[in-house]
Amino acid sequence: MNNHRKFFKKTDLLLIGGLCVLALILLLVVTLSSPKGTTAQIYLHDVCVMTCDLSEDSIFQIDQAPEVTFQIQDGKIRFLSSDCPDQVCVRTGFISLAGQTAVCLPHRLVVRIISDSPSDLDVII
Amino acid sequence: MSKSVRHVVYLGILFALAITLSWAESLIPPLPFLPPGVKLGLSNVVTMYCLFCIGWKEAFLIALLKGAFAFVTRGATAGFLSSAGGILSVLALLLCVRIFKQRVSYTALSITGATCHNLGQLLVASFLVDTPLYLFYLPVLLLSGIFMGAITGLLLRTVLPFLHNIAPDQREVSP
Repeated sequence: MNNHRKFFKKTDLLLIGGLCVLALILLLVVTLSSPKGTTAQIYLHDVCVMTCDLSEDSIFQIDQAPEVTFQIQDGKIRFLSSDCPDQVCVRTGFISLAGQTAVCLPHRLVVRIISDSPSDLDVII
Repeated sequence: MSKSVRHVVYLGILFALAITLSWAESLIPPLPFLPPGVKLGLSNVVTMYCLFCIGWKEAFLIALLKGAFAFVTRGATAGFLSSAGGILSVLALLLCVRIFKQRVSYTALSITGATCHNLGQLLVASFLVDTPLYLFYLPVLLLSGIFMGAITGLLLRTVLPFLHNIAPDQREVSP
């Protein structure tokens, strides 16, 4: 039996374009609707282990995971270093918008920016 | 060689190829301008070939084995992520092939597969840390699915004639 499947069709552009537009709209909605947060919460295994104020620059660890270092600078927070193999958490970089998260899956650590206003992102989506 | 032995051997080779490709891909250092979690997904080429030319059961088997391999070598988290991405990806591809038959192109299939792979991983990651990660991550992973999917689709198209030479009886069948 011969293979009739085409490698590329013009309709594929619709799929590609549609997905691109969807991604851009999502990106815009999420970025524009998220206010900057002033507080970050650090979760370990779904339990909030620390709440930190983003207005004070600092570099710190938490007792439960001493191999991970966090940094707060200019109202933003990031994973400064971690001993995990994938380094996804470190490469996420600084986060500062309410609802934004940085995750270290191997350590089950999540840093989440909390919004000050009661209207959280969850309402919009 | 009897047909069933041939089948098992061929699947074994494909599985070995899939995990070798994953491993080779992990050797590529992460590019600084790419957001975290964005990967090429080379082993998806094998899963797609398996689905198109051998059968859907075998494609699911490869996806599950890949997950099991990640579980053994890289831990439970990687195992869950890999399985979720693989299974959702095969499921989506199977649906597309069943619905659109030969009318859907390799590029479209590959992009669908890559996007659903990302989606599955994102959902499981969100579930694992009990946080809706998809808010900020979905756009990034959609775009990376399009781009990487187009690349793996091109790769599949390039290697298909060679695979047909090695295994002439494994032509594309309608799964």
